[in-house]
Amino acid sequence: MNGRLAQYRVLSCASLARAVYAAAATSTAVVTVEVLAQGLHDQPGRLRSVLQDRIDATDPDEVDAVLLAYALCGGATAGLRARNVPLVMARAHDCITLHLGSRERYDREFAACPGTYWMSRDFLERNRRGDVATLGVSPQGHQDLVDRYGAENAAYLSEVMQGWAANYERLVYLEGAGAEPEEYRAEAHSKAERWGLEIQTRSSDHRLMEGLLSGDWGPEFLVVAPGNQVRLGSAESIVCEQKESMT
Amino acid sequence: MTEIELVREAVIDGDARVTVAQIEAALAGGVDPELILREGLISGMREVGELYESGEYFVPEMLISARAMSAALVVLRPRLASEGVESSGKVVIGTVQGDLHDIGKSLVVMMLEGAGFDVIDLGIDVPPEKFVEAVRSEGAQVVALSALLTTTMMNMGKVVEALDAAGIRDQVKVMIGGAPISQSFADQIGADGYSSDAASASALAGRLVSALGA
Repeated sequence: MNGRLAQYRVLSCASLARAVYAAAATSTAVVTVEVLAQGLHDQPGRLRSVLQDRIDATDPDEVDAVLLAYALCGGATAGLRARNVPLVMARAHDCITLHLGSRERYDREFAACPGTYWMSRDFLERNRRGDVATLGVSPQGHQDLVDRYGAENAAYLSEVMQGWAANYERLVYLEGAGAEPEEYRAEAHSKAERWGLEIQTRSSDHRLMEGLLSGDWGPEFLVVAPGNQVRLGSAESIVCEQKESMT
Repeated sequence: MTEIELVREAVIDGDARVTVAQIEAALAGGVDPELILREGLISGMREVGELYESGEYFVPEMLISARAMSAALVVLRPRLASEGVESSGKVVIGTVQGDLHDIGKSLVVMMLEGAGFDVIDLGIDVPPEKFVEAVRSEGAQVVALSALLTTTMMNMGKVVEALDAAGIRDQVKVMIGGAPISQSFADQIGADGYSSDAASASALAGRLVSALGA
């Protein structure tokens, strides 16, 4: 430890990679980043155990705090326990709050249109699992379903899996701080067209991410002391700290 | 294999066409419609639920089996009605306000119908007052709430509060489910039951109806 600057270890979802790297570059602390695969939240128990293993393996002589570039993520982070150093995360339901920069902005967007499919550069360049939930079936396409379940059932399952688009209204492409490659915008447009959604764009705001990575942990963040756990909070707090004896 | 066992196998296989054909054959052979329902369809879906819990079946298998059962009910229901078979109870179900997702909820609807419940499906993005209104107008014994998002699951508590404010909370049981839901969350908002998957939702509804009558 250099004795001057705080040392943080960030565990980040791939869907936030660029925002994390950008905030790490300007942080007042010494930040080490580990990016984990997108889509682990499909199995909240698995995401929790992947994160807990890394939290447990953190060396307190090297790191002052573990920072989660995650949110509640379908409940996956509820139950995580801080071990030897504090565990810090934003009070947010999902990564979109971290992309938008504040909970208020996220709430406004959600209230205006709950049926929003969010897309970002990270999502497009790091996604390895297809566009939408595939009911646990490998996203190999329609033929895979036909082979498994027969033509009639495959048609039904495809219809069910694509049904979400009928209830959604818009696709919002989140523009990052840097220049966005034209092919990503084009891909977002083409997906919106295919799914019958209105395309919109919003600028990303890394304010919350910068606060997280600079140790500027006001009321928008949850700081869990060593030995304590992250728990589901109220509608207001989203996540809270539960004091418990070590198990 | 008996005619009822063939119905049961067809449901477990998720083959709607064969399930309907076997039911028609069983009815033509004079088999009691209620027996076909209980020992064929419901028993088959119970097996599907067990296969899901053991990790052998996944959501697609549940969906195609539930679809086979729904197709079978179209044929069987008029016969059950003419035989005077009683409903298992009445359930009002919906995805809570702000939530537009319905795969899980629709699966639970099919499971409940298969288990002999009358189901009033209010759809998606349902505000609390609509649940209250439906309980009043339909005389439902159970309100079933679904949510996929942690953002919207908080609205489940608002439904419980609305039922309370309307003075009808003690007339109904509230059950909840969805990806982010847990028993501790159900306890937190004062729901009467929580089901971790569609397969066990109909059994929970049955227990809640019995508890209400007790």
